[in-house]
Amino acid sequence: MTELSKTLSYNYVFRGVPSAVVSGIAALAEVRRFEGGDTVLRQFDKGRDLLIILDGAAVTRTFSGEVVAEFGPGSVLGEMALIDGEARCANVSAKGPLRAAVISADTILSMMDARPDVAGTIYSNIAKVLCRRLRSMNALAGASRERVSL
Amino acid sequence: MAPLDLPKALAFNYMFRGLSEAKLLELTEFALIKDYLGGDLLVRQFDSSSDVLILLEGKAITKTFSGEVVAHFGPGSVIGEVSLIDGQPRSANVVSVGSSKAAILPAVVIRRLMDENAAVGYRITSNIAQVLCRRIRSMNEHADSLVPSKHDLTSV
Repeated sequence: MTELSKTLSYNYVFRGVPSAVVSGIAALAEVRRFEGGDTVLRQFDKGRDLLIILDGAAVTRTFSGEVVAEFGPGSVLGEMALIDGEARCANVSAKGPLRAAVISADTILSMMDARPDVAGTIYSNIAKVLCRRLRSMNALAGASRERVSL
Repeated sequence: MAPLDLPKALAFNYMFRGLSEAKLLELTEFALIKDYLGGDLLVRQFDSSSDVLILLEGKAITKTFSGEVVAHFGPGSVIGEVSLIDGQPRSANVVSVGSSKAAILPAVVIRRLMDENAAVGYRITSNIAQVLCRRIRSMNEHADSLVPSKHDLTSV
């Protein structure tokens, strides 16, 4: 198993996925380097590639420059566009030097067509994270409304 | 207004889109139909149930503590699918507005259908994941106005 294969197999997206499948995906992944300030994902782009951070960190900022989220090694970026094909919903930029594995949508989608069992596992892994995100956004929205209505 | 017929409600519902008639029939057979009065809870916050409810007749809402309505459900709406996916406790109360009727699809039945058949599992998970994405995206659009900031809401 290659280094990249091993790293991917520890990632939540590939939990429960057979190692042969992960190796196959790793073999087709591209490792890309970014410098601090580089755009990793551009808002409104129609790309569907999945990115997994290997080293370094990336951030999403508000218009005023405030950091709203930070992503470190192991973080997955771009999974929503993979699922629904809609445009990227935010700009994500490299905080400093960054190395990420880029897995093209074609690679994942054609593997999923061939292996619906693996597809179900990957989608389930991603869906669980989306649920957590939705719950925490709901909680934040609820709390904000409470503040506003007092 | 006549209540929605369960097989039809399932066939038109996003969650079960793409499933065969045979599978939909299986779901129908295991569903429990329940009636609610105004004020009754269809879903109770913090409950550990992962069952999915489909509203067949009437209306239901989710409110914050301060009484603001944050979600409306009508005939055909799916309620509770987030707990089906992540197994976490219910995140809010869902209250019946006047009388209502819902079909309860036990989590154990849905999960069994998904485990028995990989294509069914993939389909249902994919359908739910797409709706989750849509909800997150639409909340993101409103997020700038909710995240407290020392700056004004305008970015100019």
